[in-house]
Amino acid sequence: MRKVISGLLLTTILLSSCGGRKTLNPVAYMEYMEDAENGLMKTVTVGAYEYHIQFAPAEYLASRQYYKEMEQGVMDGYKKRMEAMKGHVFFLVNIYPRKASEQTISERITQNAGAEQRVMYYQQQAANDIVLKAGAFEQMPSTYVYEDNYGLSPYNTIVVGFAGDYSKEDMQLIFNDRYTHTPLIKAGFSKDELSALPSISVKTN
Amino acid sequence: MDKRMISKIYAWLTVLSAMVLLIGAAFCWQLMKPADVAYIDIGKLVSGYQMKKDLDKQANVDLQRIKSVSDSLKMIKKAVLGTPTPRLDSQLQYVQYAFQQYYEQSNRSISEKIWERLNPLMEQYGKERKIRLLVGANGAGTVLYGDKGIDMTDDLIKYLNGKYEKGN
Repeated sequence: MRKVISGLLLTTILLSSCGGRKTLNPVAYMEYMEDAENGLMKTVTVGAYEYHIQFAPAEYLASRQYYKEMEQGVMDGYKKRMEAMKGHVFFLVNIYPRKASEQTISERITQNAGAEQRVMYYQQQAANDIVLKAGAFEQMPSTYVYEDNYGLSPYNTIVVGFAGDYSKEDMQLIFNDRYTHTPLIKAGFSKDELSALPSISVKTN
Repeated sequence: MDKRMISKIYAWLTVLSAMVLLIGAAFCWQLMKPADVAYIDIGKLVSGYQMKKDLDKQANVDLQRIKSVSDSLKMIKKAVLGTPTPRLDSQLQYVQYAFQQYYEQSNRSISEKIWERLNPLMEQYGKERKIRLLVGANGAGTVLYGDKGIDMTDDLIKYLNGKYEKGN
């Protein structure tokens, strides 16, 4: 009996020490990704702006879109989306004006006047100012979208994608924002952070 | 020795060792306690900050371009030595002026950009390290004397460069 117990104990310890990937449901997975403590969401504060850079693998983007269906066990949309984004890695760059509530009316008017210029830059030129460093290589974006919020949300979002599999290398996203005159906005993601990425579990009917 | 005596000695020894432990712990805590006040060598901080190095490198590329134009004009001037070249002279003067202007402007802008980035991070650093006052020593007499033990420059440079490369 003793031998059996010690054998079971040893197996449990061995299995737990193997430290396999965490498995989370879609909502918990998104929360994990967005928790800065886990190192997949970085913040760079510069002057009047704050840049939140979210590492967003295909699983994260597809979960954001289909988590409600996934919770019901419906996976068609998720699978289709995953197929479409296969072989790419994405980043969401959210640009927040700092202390927006403390801005004076004249500051807000100036900002609104510059809205057209801002949209022009982020829609047409900013993609050339973003680069991904992975290992020894530098890569330009293969997909790029600027989500124009028409002033309805307090931040603007850029979705930028790069072709290739970078899960085994340290990565660094570098953005030279020429609209806000902010050079060298860097967000680094280490191999360790990337290898600790959880996987998604879905209850199927 | 009777039993009573032994138990008394034991009690005294226990009290004594507890006191020694307490004093030792207080001493260690005092040693390990983060400094309330620290100072930073600003010159060393700025020159050790990786962003400054990167921006300097970028600016140097542009300055080198302007300089090469100026060097070419100087060569031409040397080649036509003795001949009056008023147009060439004014061109050379303009390029030299542009070089000077660009140099000054890039220095100013690099300094602005660096401090925009450093200020929020220094606040964060102070809070994280539980420092109540962080003084910047700039060689102009703001800090007349500072113990090496409260010189946090190297630690801050390491902290800032980590945040610069990885984000917060």
